[in-house]
Amino acid sequence: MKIKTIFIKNFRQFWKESTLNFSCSNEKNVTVIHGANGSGKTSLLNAFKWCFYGKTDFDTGTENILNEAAIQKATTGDELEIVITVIFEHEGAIYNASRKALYRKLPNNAVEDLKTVTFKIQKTLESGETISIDTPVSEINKVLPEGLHPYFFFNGERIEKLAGVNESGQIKEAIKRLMGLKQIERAERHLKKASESFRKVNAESSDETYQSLAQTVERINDDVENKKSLLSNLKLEYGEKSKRKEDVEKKLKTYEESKALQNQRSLLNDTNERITEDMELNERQRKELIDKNRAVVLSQSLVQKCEALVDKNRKKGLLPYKVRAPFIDDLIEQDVCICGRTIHGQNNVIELLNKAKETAGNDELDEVYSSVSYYLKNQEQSLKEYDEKLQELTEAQNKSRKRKKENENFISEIGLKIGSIKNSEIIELEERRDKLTEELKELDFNIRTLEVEIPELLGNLTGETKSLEKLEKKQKDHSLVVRRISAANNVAKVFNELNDYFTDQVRNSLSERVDGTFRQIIRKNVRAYISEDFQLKIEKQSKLGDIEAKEQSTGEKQVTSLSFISSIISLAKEKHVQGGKFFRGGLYPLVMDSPFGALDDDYRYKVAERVSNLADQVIIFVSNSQWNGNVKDACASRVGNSYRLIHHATTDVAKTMDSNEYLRFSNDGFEYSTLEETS
Amino acid sequence: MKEIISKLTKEEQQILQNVMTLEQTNLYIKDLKQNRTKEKEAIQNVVNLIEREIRHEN
Repeated sequence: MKIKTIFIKNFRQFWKESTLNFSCSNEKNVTVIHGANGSGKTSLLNAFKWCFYGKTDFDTGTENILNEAAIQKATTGDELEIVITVIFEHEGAIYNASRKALYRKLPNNAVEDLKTVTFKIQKTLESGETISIDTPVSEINKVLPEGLHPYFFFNGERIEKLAGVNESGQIKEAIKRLMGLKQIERAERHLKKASESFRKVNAESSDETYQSLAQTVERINDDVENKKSLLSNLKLEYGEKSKRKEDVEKKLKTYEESKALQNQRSLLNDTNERITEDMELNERQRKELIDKNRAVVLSQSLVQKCEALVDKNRKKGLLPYKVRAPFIDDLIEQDVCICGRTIHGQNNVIELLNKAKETAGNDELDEVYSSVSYYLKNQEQSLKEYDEKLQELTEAQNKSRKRKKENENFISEIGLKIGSIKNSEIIELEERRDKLTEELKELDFNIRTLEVEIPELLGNLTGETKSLEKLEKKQKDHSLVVRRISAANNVAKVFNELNDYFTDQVRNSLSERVDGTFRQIIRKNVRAYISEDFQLKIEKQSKLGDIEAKEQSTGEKQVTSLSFISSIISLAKEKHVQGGKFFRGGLYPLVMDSPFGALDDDYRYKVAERVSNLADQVIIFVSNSQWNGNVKDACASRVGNSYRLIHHATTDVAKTMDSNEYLRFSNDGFEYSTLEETS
Repeated sequence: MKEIISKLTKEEQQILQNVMTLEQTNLYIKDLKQNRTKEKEAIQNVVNLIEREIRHEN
């Protein structure tokens, strides 16, 4: 996919029509759009998302996306439209994707959403023939699946979140989608369904037990599938709402009255996040400790009995044995008693010695005795150590719980303080935040419930399926339908194994790439990798071996995430070029909004320098201050097209200012932004 | 990978290959799970594939 042009009409800051042409050259593959804060960089990024999928990342979603100047200029009753058209090239064809939304102007500058959004795609084939696509939604997902969109069109201010633990599900999903592993998952699902369909046929000629089992397996399978899909949707919703909440909190920091309180709340929230992580770790450690020492605890009564028995025998003088069997054997063999007399011919003596041998101890018994004694001595110590460790962990957990609760109380107090500030905008933001917090809590509860329910259901499913398969084995061995059921199940199982195999393979390959890019940029002696549970992790070298580097700065997290995205793009490109049977891959552009935000001068320069190598086409939206700093120098040789975002303002500052590349006085009396090509 | 696939009989390997090709064409249908008609169609196609491969004569 290479983006050629975007036309924007009446979208957010862009009044009337604006056009942006992107560089598609291989050598100069970078297009830069630079502008001041609020001039429309994030709007441009969202223009792509709205055009392709009808969505935006703004906390108000698709509300208020109609340009305000257009509304003010129109007369009541007039129809207004937002149009965004993206022209791009993909696998030899030229696509023209266009989305249009209609509105009507109402009195007092209000607008009515006419809810008539149209989305069209026209495709011009290599032969020159142009066709209208009947299923544009499917078509755009064929080119760039919606789930992958955030990896290629991303907001730099949020990118560091990728390096967070909570994003592992998202990372796994992205890898699976991009590498074609989704089709393996689908294949497995469809084969299971096909097996159910054959089972229905088989049930018609089988007994009630089979029928009921087949129904149970089908029901549990459906249940698992529905719950899995619900879980993934809830996680997605959770991610979106968290981002919205962050945006609201960011806005609260822009008001003088709420800034300090919001900063304090953010700090407390961060602390609570860390406490929650610690508590989860503590919970895992306690479980491990209990599991490991289960035998020590459960064997207590047995150990006590054993102790009493050994003690009793010790007191009786039976343990340890004074006379050992090999000693008696030696006496008989050497034919000499301990008093010096011969034993030979003394039948009653030999008999007595043999009898004594039966109750005498031997090496084996001695060994058992000493190991039992040792175990009993240690048992007490192990139990003591276990108790102490458990107590220590429990105390730490209680402390964390208490601290978390205290912080929560502070947070709710801050909420009340912000809510009582006499500023309607702040109150509205705080209400929105409260609502989102409640919704997030509910989502979190539902996610956790499902995460417990699904493994339980899977356990049930395994048991019931085994019973069903047993019955099927007993049925006519060579019945056609049973053979078909068995074939469907066998192939489904192999797809399941292939899924694990490929996921692992792709993860390892990505891990290597992430580390390669990461080390080229990062200054510290650390390495980046994707862990088995798909977390983007950083390890630092120490004398004791590699240890996880938990504390990363925002800038370092950004570099990590950027390395991850660039690795995805390069692996996708490689797989696309190879054209393998299982992996699809693809060629994708990299469109970044403010990717240099939290980076210091050195990182900024290195990232800007390497950014052009990250993908075949790179589009960067950057602040004027960053662009005019070292970013321009670092990537100048690769820039094909560059644009300046100009904000037309009605303020006195704009009127009285002599010359400013990014700000102009608006003679129309409306505020809006335009684009100007620069050399 | 070969090790995993070699667990299957020849007929089952053929099913695997055909299902894979079939799923490649389904890949671009957005939200296949939600699109019940398409999902049913996809399952029926898999059923047909298995029926074609596992017959009386083999």
